[in-house]
Amino acid sequence: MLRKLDDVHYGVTAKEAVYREDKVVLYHFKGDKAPTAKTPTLIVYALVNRPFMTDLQEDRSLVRNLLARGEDVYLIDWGYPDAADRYIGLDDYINGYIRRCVDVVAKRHGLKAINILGVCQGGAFSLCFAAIYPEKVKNLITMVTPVDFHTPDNMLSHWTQGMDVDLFVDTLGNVPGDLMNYCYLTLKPFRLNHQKYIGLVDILDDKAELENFLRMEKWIFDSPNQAGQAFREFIRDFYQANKLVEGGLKIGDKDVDLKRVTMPVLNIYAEQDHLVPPSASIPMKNVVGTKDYTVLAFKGGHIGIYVSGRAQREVAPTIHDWLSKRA
Amino acid sequence: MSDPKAAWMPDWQNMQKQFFTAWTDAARGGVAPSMPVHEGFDVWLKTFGGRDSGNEVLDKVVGSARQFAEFMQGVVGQLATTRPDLATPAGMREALEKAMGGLTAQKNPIVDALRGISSEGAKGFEDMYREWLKIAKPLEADARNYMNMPAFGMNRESTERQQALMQAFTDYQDQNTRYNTLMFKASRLGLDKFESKLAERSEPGREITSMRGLYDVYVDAAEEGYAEVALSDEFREVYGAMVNAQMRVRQMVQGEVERSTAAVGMPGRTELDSVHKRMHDLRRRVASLEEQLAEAVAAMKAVTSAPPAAQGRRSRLLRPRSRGQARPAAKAKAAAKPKPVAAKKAPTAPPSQSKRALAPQCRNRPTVVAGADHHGTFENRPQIRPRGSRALQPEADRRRRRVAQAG
Repeated sequence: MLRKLDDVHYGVTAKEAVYREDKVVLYHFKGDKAPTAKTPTLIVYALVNRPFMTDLQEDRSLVRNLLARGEDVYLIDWGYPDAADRYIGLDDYINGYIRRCVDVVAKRHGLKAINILGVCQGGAFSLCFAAIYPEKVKNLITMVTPVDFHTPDNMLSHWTQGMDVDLFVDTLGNVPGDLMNYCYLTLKPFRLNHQKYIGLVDILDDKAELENFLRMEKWIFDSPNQAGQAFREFIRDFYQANKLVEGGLKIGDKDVDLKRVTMPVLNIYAEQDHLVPPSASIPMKNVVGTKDYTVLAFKGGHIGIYVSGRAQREVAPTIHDWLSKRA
Repeated sequence: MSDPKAAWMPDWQNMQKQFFTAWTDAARGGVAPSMPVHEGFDVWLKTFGGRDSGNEVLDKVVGSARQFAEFMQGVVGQLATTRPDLATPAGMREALEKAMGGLTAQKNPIVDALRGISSEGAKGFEDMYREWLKIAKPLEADARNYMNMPAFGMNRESTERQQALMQAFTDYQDQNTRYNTLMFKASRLGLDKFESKLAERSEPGREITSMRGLYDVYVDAAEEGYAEVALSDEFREVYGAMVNAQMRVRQMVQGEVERSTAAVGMPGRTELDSVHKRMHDLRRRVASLEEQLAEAVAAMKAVTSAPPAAQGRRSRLLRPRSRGQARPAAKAKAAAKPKPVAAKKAPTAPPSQSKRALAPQCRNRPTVVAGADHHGTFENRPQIRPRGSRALQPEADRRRRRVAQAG
């Protein structure tokens, strides 16, 4: 039994790589039936952790649920940056990789604009992308996406304010994934490091639950290093200067004006999110330019929004219904 | 022979059950187990060859259980064996503090919890510092020797660097002390909250009825105490200063190591950074060029695949013609003869996007045909040749012809 438990995987839905560039791979998911949606949806995940939280296991998969409802789903896998990638900045990620992936998907479907589903930091990237290239985004969905980084309950942001991020990145180069993980765990050191494992005793005789637990553990500790330049820019412009709200954000030579986000927006935040507090996400309504803004407050946490039973019942159906009305 | 590790789960479950039962009994007024339960965990751990079982999750589970066991032994053991009056919230708090060996900067549950996070997939600032301090330790000793020496002569720069490094080490220790002081404050605050929560839970209908319940209250209190400090302005300043101080030490140590390794011809961080920067710049240029190329190719395909009637005169020239096909000599001559600009007919409508994209290609075509095209794109298109053929005639041939005409 132990051997079986050790052998857990995530990323369960069949997929095909349709575009590669550097370490970035654009995947197209294959559902059990042909998609009925005319406009495909591209998932833009955060740079931290692996994007397969959206496709963790068969019965806990946002991707699978969307496919089952007829959506056509693509996903960008950022890969694992190494020292040769330390100079990759937000310009490369947003005006480079994301734009080219969007173009590839649009071209495959003969469209000018596609749907984008941004997750966490990927949601912030998606907002920037939609502001710079509104003509390429038909509908924008953001999940657990921070917009206002200066709310009083944002512990991560609080900790970055006194950091000399230039010194930090110049010294470390890329920021180790292990260090990122450590920082996340120190947000709640007792709960995330002790209480969680004490709770394991409750499921020790439940093989399926144990596998779920181990799968989640594997995902949590599978953290790519962060490309130094992108980390520097994200901390400086988003966390420290709060430019998404305050204005003045530039990605490469492109101005980011969220008033240009005029396509329909669905913003989903988690009420118990300790990484992106609701207060950081809710203000999106006031800064985007769209008149078609929908918000969903999910009863759960930053991870539960993908993997909990409630998430399976609520999140994908909401996204699908919302998209269907805007097809 | 069966793998002893394969049977870990039943053992683990049994131990947990015994554990909860024993301590729940103790809390209800019985006698605490004579053998500390966490020692039992140690015995069990030996099955896996010590504390590092090689299984990350297992180690975390066992580590957490040990922490839980220590907590229970502290609180409930005190309750059951020493003073009955400790059953008050204040007594419970005192018992827990005593079980911790007295709360100090060194013996601090938050610091323990933070250290406990360190694992294969999570390494904090303290871990990073500890890891490369192995390398930096001799440098620290060197730097200490230079601390009070005057910097002069040929070693002045080196001495100054060593002194700066020593200062950076000292500064980091100071900042780390400030950080630990705040963690101590957070632990104390957590205990205060634990006491308050116990008082709240002593109301009828809200009593804590299990060991797990008591532990969960402790965790809630500890987290709240920690969060209160971690969200304070003071913590923001101290945390930033601690991180910055460590980075300064690390940067200086990296510099010293780089100087040493450069002496034996090893590439250092600076050299690799330079290479990576060039690589990155090249990747951006290549990506940009690829996009431009793709656009140009797409534009050309759009024009060449369009029906002849829709194509302009220049684009028609791009269509390959069979070798036997007659060349429109008159048109070629006319094209070779420059026309006055004023004689050109103004276009009635702006050219389409695809024609605009193609235009530079057409303008460059004579040059390409004249031999500048090394890609062979147009080399088999004789119909283009007349426009540049005259220019291509060797000067010697032309001279021969002039001599013959004169003769």
